[in-house]
Amino acid sequence: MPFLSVQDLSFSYPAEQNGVGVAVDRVSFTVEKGSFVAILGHNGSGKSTLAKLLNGILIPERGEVLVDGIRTTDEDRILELRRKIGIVFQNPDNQLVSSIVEEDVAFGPENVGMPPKVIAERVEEALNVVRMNEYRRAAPHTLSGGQKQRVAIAGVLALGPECIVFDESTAMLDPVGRAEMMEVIRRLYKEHSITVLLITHYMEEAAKAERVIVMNDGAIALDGTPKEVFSEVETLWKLGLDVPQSTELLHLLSADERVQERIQLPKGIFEETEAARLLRRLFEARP
Amino acid sequence: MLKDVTLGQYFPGQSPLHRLDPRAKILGTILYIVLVFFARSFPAYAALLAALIVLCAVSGISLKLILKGLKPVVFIAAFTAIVNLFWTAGEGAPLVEFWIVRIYPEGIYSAIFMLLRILSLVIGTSVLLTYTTTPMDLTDALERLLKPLKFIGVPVHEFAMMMTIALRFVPTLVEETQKIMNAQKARGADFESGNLIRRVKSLIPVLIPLFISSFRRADDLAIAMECRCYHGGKGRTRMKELHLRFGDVLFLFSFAAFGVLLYFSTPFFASMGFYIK
Amino acid sequence: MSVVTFEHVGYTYSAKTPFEHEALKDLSFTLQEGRVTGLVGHTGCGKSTVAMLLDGLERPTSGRILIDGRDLWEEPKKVREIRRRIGLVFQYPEYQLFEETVEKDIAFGPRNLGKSEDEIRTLVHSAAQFVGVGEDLLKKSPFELSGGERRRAAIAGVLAMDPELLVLDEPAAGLDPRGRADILGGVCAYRREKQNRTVLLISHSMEDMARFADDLIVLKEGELLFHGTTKEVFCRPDLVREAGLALPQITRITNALCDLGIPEGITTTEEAAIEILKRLDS
Repeated sequence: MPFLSVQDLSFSYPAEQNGVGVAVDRVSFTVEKGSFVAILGHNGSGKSTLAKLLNGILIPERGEVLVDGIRTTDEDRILELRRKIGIVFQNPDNQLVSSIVEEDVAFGPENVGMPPKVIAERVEEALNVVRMNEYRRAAPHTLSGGQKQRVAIAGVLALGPECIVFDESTAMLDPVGRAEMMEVIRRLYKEHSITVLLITHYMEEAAKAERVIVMNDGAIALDGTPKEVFSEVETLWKLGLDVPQSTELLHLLSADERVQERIQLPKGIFEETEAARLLRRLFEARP
Repeated sequence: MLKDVTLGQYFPGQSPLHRLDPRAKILGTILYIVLVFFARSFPAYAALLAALIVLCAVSGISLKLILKGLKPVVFIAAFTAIVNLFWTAGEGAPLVEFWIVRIYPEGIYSAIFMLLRILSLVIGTSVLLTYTTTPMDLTDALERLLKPLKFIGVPVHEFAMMMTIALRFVPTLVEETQKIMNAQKARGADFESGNLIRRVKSLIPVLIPLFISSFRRADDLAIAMECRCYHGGKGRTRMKELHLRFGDVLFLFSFAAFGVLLYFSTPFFASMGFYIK
Repeated sequence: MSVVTFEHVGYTYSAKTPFEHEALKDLSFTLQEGRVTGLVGHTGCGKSTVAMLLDGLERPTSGRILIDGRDLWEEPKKVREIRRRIGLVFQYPEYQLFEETVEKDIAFGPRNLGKSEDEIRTLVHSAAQFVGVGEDLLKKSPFELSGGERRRAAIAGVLAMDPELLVLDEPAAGLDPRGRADILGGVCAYRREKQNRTVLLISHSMEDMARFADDLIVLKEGELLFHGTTKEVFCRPDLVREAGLALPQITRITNALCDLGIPEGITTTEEAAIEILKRLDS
């Protein structure tokens, strides 16, 4: 059984809150335990609404979401479900509760009534994973955006989740903060076998995932490995998205006769070294 | 920068007073306030002041900071002292008499006492409580002390949660206010000139965005809290346990003993003529 | 105008307190009229402080800021007068919207400048056009708009003041690729249409700089590391690394192939494709 199963899911906001059209429109997909999936899409493509449907913050209009076998509409098991799937949101300032870092991280475990000793252990461990232990007594407003987001990850981690959804968690950060976050995400997925759902509009971030789902107008437009998805350059452009620059360069070159005469450039290349290697081959090849 | 402003007047430190259980400090402060009002003789005051000096010394907070904290009450203290000085009628002959002013010895006494009372009240509560306890610890301690009120329907947990969130967001909102003011200034807004009505009106472009962003923050935070399994105070535990340790008990006990001693010694001192009304 | 010169400018926050922080040190540069200059650097390098100083919202602790040869702080009371000539767009400017309609909000700036109703109408409409805020959006409440639309409306509010020097602090932060292109494209359209307007674009996105900036000023910890054309900076990976920044992927790929005769400092994929195809022919 897949860890996350979304079946025929639809949702639209009531008319008084920007209710234009359907936010999520008959979406179905499954996510296996321990995988790293990126969800791409431009602003307003329904990806953030999808995040809130995954842990029962929003209730589907149609279809269902199962997290490890628990339905998000099952009110008796909602806490159990939310312990399994945590969300880190976009704005670093709007998701920390306490004015002391370690007490903020303790917030989740306190809510589910863990014994004080266990909470302290989990807080310590979670802060270690995100490398924020030296700031345990700091006040959030003295931290950088990237540090605040790492505290937010620790707050989710302390609940011992199996899956973490990052809802554009890097969008408001500077390049350094983004790199820090991506490093933490990589560790969560590689070393702590946490299932990661990364919602983003940065291609470089999506390229790090095992699988990329592209959303448009509330529906899934593309679904595949980064290489497969980035092969669809024209489609991505049409959906208001970019492709990594190396993909774009090879795409531009392969449309030219002079290049076609020499070699067939593969599609969907997004790694620098790979792209450089292919360009060298292009220069060596004779028409 | 505005963002460095922290709420409350906490001065970080490692003194025994800093380390006391915040509940003990709250109870101690209440006791202290009662004592200040009960003390009605010179020796009692002398003892109280001695206790206060010991507390200040133990807290490790510099005299300069303590005196600085008195600034806001200087006016009230001086005013009260002057009123007492001139308006206390004595039994004997006045010491000074000219025009309508009559100063009796009793007036001088009560002026000094009023002054001492106000100053010791302010210094005592700040050294015992606000200077040495973080606002977070205070909130925590209040929540625990008021817990019994839950049974008569007082939303103690909700109140404490509100305090916690307010403490967390004050610096954020202060910073945001500054940012919006700068943004409107850059668009030619003028907050500095004109009469009062104009100035108040000029704040509208600051207040509306501030309200809207606060609502948005509140919305975001509520969702984030829900995602982290928040469902009210039911079944909630705390990471930080407050344990009354030997030191806390000793502190409270000695404070109480001191109080009892003062109380019972009052008639004795009074009989010796030290009593003041 | 609009020659803007920083002369040995220093700025220290919360001087003589425990929070003292030296944000800028002995910074000197000149912004050339009619050019888009990019200001890049690691977070905390003093980029945003430069913006605040340029608009006279803060006063330098040392040095002078000259606008057309005149010291901005010559007469502190007249700073507001000079500020009229400078438009500053802050980070996340959509948070400054407050009026009932987008149109009224965009008119806030020009109205504060004391323009006539007719002038205001023209200014609002032309500013809205640059950033693609259409007639239908002008009548709406700013709070009904989407994130990207709100950002554009807020930028229009500054453009409507018709500033001679336009300073934008991370105008595209947090937006998706289409939103970024809309906003930066709008700024470029403004610069093209209105001649001799100087633009200072603050960002840590070297990809955006590659596409939109003529010159670059690289800051590091409040000090000037380099000031030259964008091309010059892109030929110096060492400098960029020292400033804590990263060159765009395309520049890194082509810089690694310079032994094949591909020139260094390529800024965009289009440029890279053209250069590569040129080399294939020979």
